[in-house]
Amino acid sequence: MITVLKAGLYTSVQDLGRFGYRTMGVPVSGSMDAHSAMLANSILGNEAKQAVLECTLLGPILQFQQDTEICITGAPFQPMLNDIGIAQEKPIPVQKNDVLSIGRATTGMRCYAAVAGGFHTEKVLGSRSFYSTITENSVLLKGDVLPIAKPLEIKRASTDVPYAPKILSNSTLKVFPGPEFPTLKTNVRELLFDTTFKISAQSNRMAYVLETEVDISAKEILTAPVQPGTVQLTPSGKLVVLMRDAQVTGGYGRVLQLTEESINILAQKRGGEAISFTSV
Amino acid sequence: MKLPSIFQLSEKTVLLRWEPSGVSEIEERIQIIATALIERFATETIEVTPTYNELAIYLRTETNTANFIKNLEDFLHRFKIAETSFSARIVTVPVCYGEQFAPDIATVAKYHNIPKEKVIQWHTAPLYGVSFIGFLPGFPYLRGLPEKLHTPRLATPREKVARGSVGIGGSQTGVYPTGSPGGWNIIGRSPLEFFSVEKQPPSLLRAGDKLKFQSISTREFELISIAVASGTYPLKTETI
Repeated sequence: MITVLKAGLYTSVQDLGRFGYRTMGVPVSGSMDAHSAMLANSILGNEAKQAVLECTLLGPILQFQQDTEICITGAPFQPMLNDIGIAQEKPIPVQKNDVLSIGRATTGMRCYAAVAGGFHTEKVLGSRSFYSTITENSVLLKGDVLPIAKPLEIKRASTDVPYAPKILSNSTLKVFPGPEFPTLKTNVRELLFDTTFKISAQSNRMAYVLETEVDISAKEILTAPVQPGTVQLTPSGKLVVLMRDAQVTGGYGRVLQLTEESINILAQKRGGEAISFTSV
Repeated sequence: MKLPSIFQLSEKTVLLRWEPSGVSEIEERIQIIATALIERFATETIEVTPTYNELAIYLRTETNTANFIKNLEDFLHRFKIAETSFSARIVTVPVCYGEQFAPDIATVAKYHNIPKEKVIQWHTAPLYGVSFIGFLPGFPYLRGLPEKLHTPRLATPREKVARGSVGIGGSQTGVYPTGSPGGWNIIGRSPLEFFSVEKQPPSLLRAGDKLKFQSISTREFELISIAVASGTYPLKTETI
């Protein structure tokens, strides 16, 4: 077990996502930067599907009620174990009563904390990923007690996590043309690739909003499937990049679609940072 | 039926796209194809989700997308609708149109210059089709709202629409399965539970269902609410 002493800014339990319920309107959810989450599991010898903690900008403070092993990946947060700095992307042994302070992001947006054998919080519709209206809470709360694998339950697996170059420093997002891309005016198509867009502070797990000063817009469409990474352009010229908690259908023009790798890159960007698009 | 076009949306997502038609037969055919696809490609796919004129096919990580598209083309060319028979479920949804549950029914009546009773009569008359579920978990996109009830959305959306609220937004009508912000005119409330993670399947309605609204009194609303909460409410359904 782990006790939450301080919850942090926006901390949630996430796994690879909730599959099989999109026909019923249930979002997929899952770790925003799936690559870093899988890397944390892989370093500990966990299966890729194990749940991890996703920490946003300011991480939680946790106390362990048992011995285990942890690994922190993603954005650099300067984590401390009993007030002593620890390395990220390395397995770190912890003992009963140890206090882990995840810290603050020095760059990037999100870090992932994995424990040996994974977090064993409640599975709802096949997944442990927090999502409001599906799971009881959408974020961790002070005083929560999180069940984790007991040493005997830990299954070791070797998962190969493909090398992802420069998730944090990259600001060029690779995209496929979306279904409505061909219906855009030529100059709008060009502007989408020639403009550097600033990320709005309103961005969250559902969507990243991009500030647009150039004159672009798209017609509304008959409600159609959307997914994480779908870039929607509204009639009033707003660009919205759907993220892991996105709705399963939408009525705005789907002009671009991010690659899986680019979703992970965008998930590490903060409000005010800039990105641009390039064709795959 | 004309063959749909195939569009690769991302590494592991393929869309089938039909010309927008607004015809219910297209939706039924999408349903039939969806069911057949899941059977034929059970090992390659995670799930498929229909909308009005598209079907999204989500592939497993290990599926080779290019090979899948080849097999899909082949499957679509050979597919004969007659091979499967389509049966729909009619679900009766009780709704209390009483004022305490219907903050906008007067606005809707006034907009069309009709008495409130007429709104109820016209809203409960059609056999609606559930085109698909989207927007929120369990939220049905319904087809069949009479044109004489089409009403513009609220100028400013409400911050909180109560769970079970029945609304009209433009040419659409539907039920809010959970409390959420919303811009539709609320004309009543259903005591049914439209989405519950405790149930399998969690969504009361599914794409392809038919739906009939039935007007109930405040007293009936209370009784049904109690039955629903204790799990003893017998949902009224029939198959056609």
